[in-house]
Amino acid sequence: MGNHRDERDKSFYPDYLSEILAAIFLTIFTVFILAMVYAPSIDREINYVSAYHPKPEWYFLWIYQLIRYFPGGWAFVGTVLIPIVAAALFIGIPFVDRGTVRSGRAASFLFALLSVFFLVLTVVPLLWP
Amino acid sequence: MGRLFDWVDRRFSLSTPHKNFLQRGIPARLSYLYCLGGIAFTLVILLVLTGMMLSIYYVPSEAEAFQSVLRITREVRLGALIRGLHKWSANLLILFILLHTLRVFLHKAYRPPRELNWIAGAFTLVLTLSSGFTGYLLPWNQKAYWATVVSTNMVSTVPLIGRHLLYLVRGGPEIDGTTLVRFYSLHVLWLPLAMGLVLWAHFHMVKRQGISGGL
Amino acid sequence: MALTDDVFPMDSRRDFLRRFVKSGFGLLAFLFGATLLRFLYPSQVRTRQLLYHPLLKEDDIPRQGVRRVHLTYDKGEKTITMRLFLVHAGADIFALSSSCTHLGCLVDWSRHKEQFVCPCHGGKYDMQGNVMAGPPPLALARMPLKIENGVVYIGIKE
Repeated sequence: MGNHRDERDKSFYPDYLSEILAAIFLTIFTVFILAMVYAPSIDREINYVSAYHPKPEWYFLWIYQLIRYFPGGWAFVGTVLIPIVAAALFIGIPFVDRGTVRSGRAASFLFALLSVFFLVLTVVPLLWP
Repeated sequence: MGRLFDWVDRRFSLSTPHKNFLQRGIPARLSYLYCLGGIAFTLVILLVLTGMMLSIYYVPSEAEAFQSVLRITREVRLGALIRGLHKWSANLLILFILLHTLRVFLHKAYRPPRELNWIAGAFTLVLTLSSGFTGYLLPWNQKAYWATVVSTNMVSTVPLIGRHLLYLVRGGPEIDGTTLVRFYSLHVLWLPLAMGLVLWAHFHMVKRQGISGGL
Repeated sequence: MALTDDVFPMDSRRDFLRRFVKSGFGLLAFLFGATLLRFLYPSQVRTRQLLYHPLLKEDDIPRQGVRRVHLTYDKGEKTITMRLFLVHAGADIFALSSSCTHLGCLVDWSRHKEQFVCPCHGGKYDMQGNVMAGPPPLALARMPLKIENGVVYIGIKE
């Protein structure tokens, strides 16, 4: 840990620099290919007078799905409360795990729970729109 | 290094103070999973560059925003490509942040003394999602407008202060040019600046604490 | 009288200064935050007044049932077109806003179900605008309506 060196260590320059540069190159290359093959759409001008069903980007689908479960005056639970609680739990993970085996398991459970929560709520609206 | 670099370096003295940093030890045989964060940062750089280019032609006004996006896509040379790069980098950025988070969690790299860095990373994710949210409105098209109607209405469901929060976000009771400029300002000034600060802290801590040795 | 160490001991002076600076910066942070919020909050939402705009002739009101109509009016330099429903139910004539009270999508009138249906999250309202199913917390808003000299006017707050 830290900056002290180990016998088995490699040094950042030049050992790892070339690998990092390779990753950077591949990333940029991939983005270029994707951008050229799948260009984003322009869509159409705003129509203020006809019914339209907007869908969010994939990374907000979980909130989109969540608000379906909270009707009427409970809407704020799905729109605001649960997302904030989820974010707080996510940020708090290092404080759940205090180094003991038990708290480590608790942190793993929490992380798994948040992951499943995100994945399920993202996949459900994709399968049953 | 090349002669030009050496010439500059003798005057600017860049390599000597950074020698320890450049030659710092890194655990041998790191898996390629350690690239995920670096890839995410590469995407941030791509986003900044393409975003700066788009801002040359984009007009953040109610009357002209949609037309300017049309112009970028159809008339500006390579405009469609730049827009595509921006959009794809943004989507991949979120994907790679999530993967990076997964890697960090599985390696238990959030344990002391790295708790604060986990928090910095979580803030990065929040800022990225906020940028995605504000950027979504900017093309000022059908999908953008109605998606933002729904999503900004979500804050109005907060009991008691909901309506005031809605006005605060929209800059008025409806979504109009005021909202567009507000989101534009957040998207190109506030959020990138905050992102720069948080990422600086993130990398500073990685540098100081070293790379976690994994499991 | 000069300030001597007897009156204000050095330690307590330093302590006072430290507390002063701390609370000063706390105050600054608070003021900055409050200023920012006030600055971001729109200035004109409170002074809105009700203005009536002509919608259509009295003869065009549906005999019975629901009619989708567009209200067009000028607001400053902009021309705004807005969609609403004119309803004639029994002896009642009223105008319903087409914004779903859940999250603001536009609802459609389904003739064969005799319901207003929101495409976004499945809200359903009856002909009176009352919630039948789905997440909406409130009935569809009734808009101010008046009939003068054979013309139907709709009131908009602005």
